[in-house]
Amino acid sequence: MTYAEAVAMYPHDSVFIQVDDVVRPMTPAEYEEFIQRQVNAEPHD
Amino acid sequence: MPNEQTSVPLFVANTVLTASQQNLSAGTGVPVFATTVTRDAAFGGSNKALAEGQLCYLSSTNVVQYYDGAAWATVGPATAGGLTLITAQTIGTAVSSVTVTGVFSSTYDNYKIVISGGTASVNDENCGMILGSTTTGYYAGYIGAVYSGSATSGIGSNNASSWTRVAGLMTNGLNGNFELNGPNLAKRTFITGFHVQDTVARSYGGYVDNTTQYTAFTITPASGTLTGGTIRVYGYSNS
Repeated sequence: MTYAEAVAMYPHDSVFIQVDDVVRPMTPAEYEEFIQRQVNAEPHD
Repeated sequence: MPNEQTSVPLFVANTVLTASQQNLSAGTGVPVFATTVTRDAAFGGSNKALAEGQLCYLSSTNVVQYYDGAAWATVGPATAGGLTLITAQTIGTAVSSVTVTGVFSSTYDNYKIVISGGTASVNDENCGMILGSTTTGYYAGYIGAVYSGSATSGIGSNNASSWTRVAGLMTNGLNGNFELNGPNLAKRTFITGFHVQDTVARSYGGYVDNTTQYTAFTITPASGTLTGGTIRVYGYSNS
């Protein structure tokens, strides 16, 4: 998945971080790390 | 819960007893805590009021406990069995990680964690897990069989930043079933478990190379997000 594809698939306002019962938006740094994770994801068996 | 408290007051001469403190005392009978972690925190420190015979109520597991002078024990047969549900954490919508806090304590040495229900935005067996905030020193071996054909698939993880395959994430269901040995002990924490994916099923085992006493963990898919489902954490009775 390219960077642009990841951003298109997961807009910043559509993904969240959860701690116990609290679900919050991602900070810009968290979102960037999330998008990079999608770009670097490897197919599994 | 409105009756939950996080401290145990220690009154000395000339201390003001407030109405809220008196009402809390009158309203509960025994102190009410959210978890064993908040209970232990409340009875620690300078207010060392913990003594044999002390009672408490834990809202996370709905049990009454007494302190026998050395450890907390549960009153009655409700949790006399070997396995006690500590928490059932519902997963939110489109979350990229889920942190569950306050689940490991001195009450139990060993834990079982079960992930079920819910959905993933993409199929992925690479579901990472860390303890506390530790992002180094995770070792594990994952061995599985691919459904198509007879091939086995072994994956080693050497000093990684997480345990990388603790659960199977599918667009029509999440699954994880694993155990932790000693996450709150000042020793290495060990993990053993299983997961099922759309193309492969694996068993695995590993450890994290430190002696940190953990109280929390975080689940993070390598790709995509999670929606719904439940992470249940159980404690194995020590005796």
